[in-house]
Amino acid sequence: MLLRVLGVVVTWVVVLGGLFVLLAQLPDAFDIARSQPVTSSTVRARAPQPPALVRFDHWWGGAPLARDGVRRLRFVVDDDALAIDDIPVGPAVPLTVTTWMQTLPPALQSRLRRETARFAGVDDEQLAFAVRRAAELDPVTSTTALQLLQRQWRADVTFSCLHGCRIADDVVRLDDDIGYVQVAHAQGPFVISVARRGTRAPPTSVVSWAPLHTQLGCASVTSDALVDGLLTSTATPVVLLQCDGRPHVVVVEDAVRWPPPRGPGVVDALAGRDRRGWGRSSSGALVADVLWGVDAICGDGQRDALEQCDDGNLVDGDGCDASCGTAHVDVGKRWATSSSRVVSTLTLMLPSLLLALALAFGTAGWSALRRNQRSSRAIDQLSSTMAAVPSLVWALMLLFGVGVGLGWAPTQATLPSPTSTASTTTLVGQRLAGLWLPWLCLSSLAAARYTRLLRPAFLDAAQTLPCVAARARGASDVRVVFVHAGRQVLPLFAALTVVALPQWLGGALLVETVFAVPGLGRLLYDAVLAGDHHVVMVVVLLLVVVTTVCTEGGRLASTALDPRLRASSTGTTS
Amino acid sequence: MTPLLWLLTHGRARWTTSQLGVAIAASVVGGGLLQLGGDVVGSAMLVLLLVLGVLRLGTPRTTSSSPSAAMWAMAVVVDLVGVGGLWASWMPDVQGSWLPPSWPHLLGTDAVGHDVLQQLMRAGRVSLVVAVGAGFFSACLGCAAGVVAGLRGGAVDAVVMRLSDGVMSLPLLPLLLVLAAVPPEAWQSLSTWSWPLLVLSAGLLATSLKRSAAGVLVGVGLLLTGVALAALSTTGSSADVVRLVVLLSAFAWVRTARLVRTQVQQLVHSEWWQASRALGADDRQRLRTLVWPHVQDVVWASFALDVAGAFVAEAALSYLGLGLSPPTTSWGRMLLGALQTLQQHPHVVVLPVLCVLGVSWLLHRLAEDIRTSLDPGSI
Repeated sequence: MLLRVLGVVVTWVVVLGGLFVLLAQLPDAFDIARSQPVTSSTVRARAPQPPALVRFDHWWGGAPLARDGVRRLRFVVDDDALAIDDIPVGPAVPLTVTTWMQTLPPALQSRLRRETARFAGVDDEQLAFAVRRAAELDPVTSTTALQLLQRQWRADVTFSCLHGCRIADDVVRLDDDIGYVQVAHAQGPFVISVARRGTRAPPTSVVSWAPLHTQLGCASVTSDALVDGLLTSTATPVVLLQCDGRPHVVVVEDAVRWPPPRGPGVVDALAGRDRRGWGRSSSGALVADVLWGVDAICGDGQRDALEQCDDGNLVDGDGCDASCGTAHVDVGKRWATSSSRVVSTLTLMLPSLLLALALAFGTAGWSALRRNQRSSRAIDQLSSTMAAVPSLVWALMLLFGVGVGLGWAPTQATLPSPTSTASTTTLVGQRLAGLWLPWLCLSSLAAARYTRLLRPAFLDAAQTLPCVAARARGASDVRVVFVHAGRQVLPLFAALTVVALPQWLGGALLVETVFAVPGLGRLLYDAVLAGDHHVVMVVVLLLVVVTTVCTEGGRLASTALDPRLRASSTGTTS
Repeated sequence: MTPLLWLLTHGRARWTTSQLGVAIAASVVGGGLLQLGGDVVGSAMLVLLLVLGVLRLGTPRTTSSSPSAAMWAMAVVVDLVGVGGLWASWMPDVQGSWLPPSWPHLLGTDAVGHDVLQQLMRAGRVSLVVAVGAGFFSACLGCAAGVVAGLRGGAVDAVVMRLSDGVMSLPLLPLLLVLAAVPPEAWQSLSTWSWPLLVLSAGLLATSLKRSAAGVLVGVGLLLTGVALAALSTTGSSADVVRLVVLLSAFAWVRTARLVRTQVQQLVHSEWWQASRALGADDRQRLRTLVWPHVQDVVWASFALDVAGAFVAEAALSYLGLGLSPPTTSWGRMLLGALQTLQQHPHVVVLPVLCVLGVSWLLHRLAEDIRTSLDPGSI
């Protein structure tokens, strides 16, 4: 037993140590941008800029958290009308809007700018500056595909660099002024447009301000580096923005093309998007929610919406650095973020685990009751077939069939925000509505796997002497199977749960990704994609703790549940 | 690859499970190689599989006289994917994306303009190569580790078993996720370790070839590790595939090792072992005449399960967008962004899902068939 634990601990140390070494020696191991050729023009483009203060506050499954100091504007854009709802709190610095605005028709743009300036209390000049700067961004890199385009056009080519991507060596399509180049990205291949210098590619993708912040796992998301019009994607819309000051490409899952197609097409494209930033108002207009934060003063002891922390001083290294936490990686804070995600993961895992165990226990017991009958064999067949279904496929099938096809469940698990003031019943209701499909997904597969293992155990246990004796004393079949045989199966049951735990964490990761549950697995996935290896390490560490504790706890439980094991273990020690 | 399959299946009057298994493995790996272009590790694997297939080394004693329906279905899938993949190309149709099914594109085109049918073929090839490759590597490694642990016992046994305890308690998918995201450049620094390992293993093999079975097996284990480390740093179009194979098998060898160890322990305590000692057989003879026949059934059954497991794990990783990068694609990878495409172009999403589902089921079925045919008492 001691050796066993020692072995587990040593392996963990080796694995974690290896990971640490791998990651620590390569601080930018995930930052693919580093391996890309960076020309001088890039440096100029990223030269010191006025601090971009636009940040998104925490989003929780798409629902904005209204916090003090965060403004929320709602733009409703109809054919040519514009309405703005405002929840003004304090002064704001609206940089986000300008980049977003460039995708609008010019007339609307100026009006929007005017309105925004009036609402936000800043002068129009600031906005114009941001627009100019976005337009001034220079081409960054050249590859064979670009050289090919240059040869064919006999002209210079403008191109926006996409970090975390590389250009495949083929030109997909070539028009008069626009070339389409295939780009490889961790999120999948997509096509970007490359324009001849002096011309501008048509802006086609407007990106929803989805919970980018959460998805990226970075403290701040600014989009002032968005290059409008150059990022045209026919497959996956992308947006170039800054994540914690680093340029970053986000492939946004859910985007609306602009200008929208006229007629009923708009309705089709926008149906069911209300939970995201873009939505459809009752009049058929487009709705965009734009959040921006207020100017924060670091070191005044007051934690503003823009600050990660504020301890009243400007000293680094005391848990809250001189810039109030954005550049500085505070492992403690990461830990705190991760642990709040643990709650979310547990909300997903525990009910489904209980459901799976109950289902498996019931089905296996029932199947033992109906031994040698057709229904029992059917259960066997069904469970072994289900056990061969990959959890990914099952999750996708449920999502497609029940979520999208029937529309019975949200395709994104929306959890109530932690600060929500709604009543408890509403909260529980929201949780149920958001999570029942992931629960079903996780538990049904696991139940099949457990049933497959438990059924023979039940069948064997029902033949043992205690069960025969119970039957002889006149116990009913149900009682014999579920009480007497069940008692014998219980240790196996506990052992099963334990062995399954590491796999559960893996399965939960997939399900969280597919159903967009903001849990631990999703956090790990996002952090891996964003290249934030501090978060990666913390999450892996958390997984280690959870797995180890559960494994050892389960071992103890299985000993406690089985008198035979208990007897043998005390026998050997004494 | 079909002729090879035909040769191996029709060359004898009666088929055996493993012959078909080897044929499938060889044709998949070979087909994948043709597609992916030459690379050292892949070629070595192909040669090894061919040798295994032709010499029928390690043919298990089966009770089934003909391949089951699942095997036939699998062979058909492999042939379809293997032959079709030769014709499939990555070049997208410049005419446009999301073309509806029509003559040149039987299943239409995807977002970039790739022919969906061709992509399915290419993807299936990669999925199967990764699965079989990972299964093969983990079977080799697990077999070597298990035999060494069982034969030597004592400290060696304790180390191998504690290591396997540890590996089994790791949450697999999260770790794979992290490892798959490490860029190739980071692995290259690790690959410098492969040369000392390779030299060490060569030395060990050379000195212990005649004398010690455990020495040979440790040598084989080191050799495999060295090859794996070297493989991690390969560049080129097949680098992703090789890396996935190594990563998946790094975690999958444990089960084989444990099973093989138990078998070997049984053998060591048996009368056969005593008899062989009394007859003065040396380690090499015992490995060939006693140990391998004793453990091969377990190895085959475990190999089949590992292939199924690796297939599913690869699909999951690729779906998450890690592991493979274009132009290499797999069925899991084709599901990237599935939710967005589903409503407008359902077939582009549904077909890869069906492929993953069907082949995963087939592989599990196959594993079950192999297990029951090797062990008639377990039915």
